[in-house]
Amino acid sequence: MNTKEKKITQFQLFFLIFLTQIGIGVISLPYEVFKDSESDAWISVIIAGFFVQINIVLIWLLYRRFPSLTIFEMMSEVVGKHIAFIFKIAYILFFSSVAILLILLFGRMTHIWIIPRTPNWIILLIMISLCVFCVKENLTVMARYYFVVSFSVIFFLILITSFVKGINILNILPVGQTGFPSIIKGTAQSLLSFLGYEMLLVIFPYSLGKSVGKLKVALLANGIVTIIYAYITFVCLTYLGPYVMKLIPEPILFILKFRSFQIIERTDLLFLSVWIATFGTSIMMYLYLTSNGLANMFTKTNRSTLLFCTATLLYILVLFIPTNDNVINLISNYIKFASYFFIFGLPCILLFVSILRGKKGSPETV
Amino acid sequence: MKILKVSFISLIGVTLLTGCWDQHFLKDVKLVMGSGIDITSDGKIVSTVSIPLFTTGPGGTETTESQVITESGDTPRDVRNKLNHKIAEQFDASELMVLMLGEEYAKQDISAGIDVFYRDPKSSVRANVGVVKGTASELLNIKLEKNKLMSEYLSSLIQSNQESTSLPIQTRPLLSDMFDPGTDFVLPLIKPKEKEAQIMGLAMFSGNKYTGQYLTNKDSTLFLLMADQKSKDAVIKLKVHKNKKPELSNFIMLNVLNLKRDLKVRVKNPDEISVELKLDLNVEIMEYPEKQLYSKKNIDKLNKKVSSMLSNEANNIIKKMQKANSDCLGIGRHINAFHHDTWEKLNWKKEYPNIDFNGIVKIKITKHGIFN
Repeated sequence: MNTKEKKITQFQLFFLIFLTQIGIGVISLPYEVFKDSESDAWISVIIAGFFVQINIVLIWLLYRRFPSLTIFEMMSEVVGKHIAFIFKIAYILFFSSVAILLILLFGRMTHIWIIPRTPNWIILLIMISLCVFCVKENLTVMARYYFVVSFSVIFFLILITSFVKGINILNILPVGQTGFPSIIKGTAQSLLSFLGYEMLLVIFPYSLGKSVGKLKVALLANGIVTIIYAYITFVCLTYLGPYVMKLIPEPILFILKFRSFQIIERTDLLFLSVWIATFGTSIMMYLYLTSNGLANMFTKTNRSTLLFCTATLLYILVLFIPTNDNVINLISNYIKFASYFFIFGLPCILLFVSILRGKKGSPETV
Repeated sequence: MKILKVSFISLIGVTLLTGCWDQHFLKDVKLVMGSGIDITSDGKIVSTVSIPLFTTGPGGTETTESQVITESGDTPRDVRNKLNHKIAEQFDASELMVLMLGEEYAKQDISAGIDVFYRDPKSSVRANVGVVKGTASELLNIKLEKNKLMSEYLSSLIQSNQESTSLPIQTRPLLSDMFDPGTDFVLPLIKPKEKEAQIMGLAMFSGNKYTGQYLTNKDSTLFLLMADQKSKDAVIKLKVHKNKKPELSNFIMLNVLNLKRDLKVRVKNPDEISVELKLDLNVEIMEYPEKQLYSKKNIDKLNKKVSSMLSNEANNIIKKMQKANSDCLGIGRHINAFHHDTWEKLNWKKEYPNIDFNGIVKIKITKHGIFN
């Protein structure tokens, strides 16, 4: 384990999980789920949240066998150096491709909604340098940033709640009209928005406290995320109605256009400008995960040096990827399938193998 | 060394964070605050825009006049582009306050014309939409009294009528009602006059098309109460007596304090749908020249009389809606929600005019001012 890393408290762990999950996914979540499960989208979201809880327990079980190791470190213990090497590279590629997707989504959203004329390279440059600036120190610094940013979520919830007066509950009745298969399909769609909790694979050993307490924090964070997701999906659905939902890819921003306050108009612009800080949290976490993995492979090099290299590389890569919907959909589909393997499949296999081979890490040293 | 570093970083920051690409100067744009869409007989779109002119007077910048321009084209966006050739600055509809649809245009599918307002991220979706009896260009071209802008005038006209429950308040996007087959909607109907505009009532839509039929001002308050959309005040006038002298003592003016709506939709099979709309109103008497309110008996009598009269009116409104085939109370959505199987088999547009639809209004006089 990287001894230089300062440990974070459980309180901080909560915010790390919470915001990494919420980040970007929330903006288009209602639409993505709606495409499959229509007016039962909110049920899909709750089911997805439940699956994620199970997955978190799975990750925790794996962690409990190796309480002081990150996924990168424990793999060589479990499956041997050579196979672990391949898996490590795969994980690093996975984390960095999620980072790429998030950066692309961020670029597209700011481009469409707020600053259509500003060239993409400069928006992305600012965003990535901000992320690097925050990630280069240690987890404690990130956690503090996350804590401050979490207030924007409260702001967001208040804004969304102001629409409750205009909703029409008839829009989601009768419950369950789309049928079970569609609801499950929608669940699969919404899992992408829940991504972020897989950081527990790496972060668990870096936090203080008893392992049961950490599990509780992780479950609580995801539980709250699930409730928030279900709530906003519900509000969007009942406010806009099922016949319009399919026409609006970013329903949350769209409904914000309909609300103006005494001195504030165009709430969507205001909200998005504040929310950019929250976008950042997701990108930061994946940059951190990537650099952590790299630091594990190149033990001689400093993590922040590796971070600079990764960020530069990602930035150049992103500039060359055309930002149209097709490419973004392609990447997000690929990530969806990859995530089943990396977040659920592989930890499952690792757990199984480690039980079979009777491997266990040294007890945790707090 | 440190100072050098800090100043270098702040220099970069200053150059990067100014956002030079996306600045919109007010001096470079013409803010369109009122817009109207009409259609010619050969299907061309005629768009009229009203742009306030800013003049610098002794009291600072004032807007006392507006420039009205009309242009035709194939689509509203096409017209915008053409307008840009005419006006000196860029066309900017982000502060749009009113969008008026000409009668002939509204009889077509209106969703096509307002597409641009939803698609453009900069546009204002909160503009008041209304239908004009006649053409929109006629309305926007009215010369108002001095120091009044057409767009401001129209939007405050609509707003004040919303507060008195004569016009519906758009709490949800119009778009949602437009695309929902289980509900139709109403829009304010406005008629251009010599020097002002006048609200005629509520234009009833069937699907996305104006049916050509409307609820008069007399009906609109009761209609909005039936739709459970009471605003601040809701004043109803009724003629309760016939041959009293002088003429004005035949009338009663009521203000609705609060209401309870109960909508019962009974569906046996697709051919047998019956709807019962019960409305319980607590009212306050605002004007009643016949001073009989000292005894409870008289109040009860009046309660009964007014209730039956209002029930009659409610049923008239329902008949009008059914005749226009406009389901503006959203009965279809109820059937969809609670009788989903029937809804799937139902041809709602065909069935709606034939359903058994009853309105019952019950009032209770709870206040009568400080005078019996």
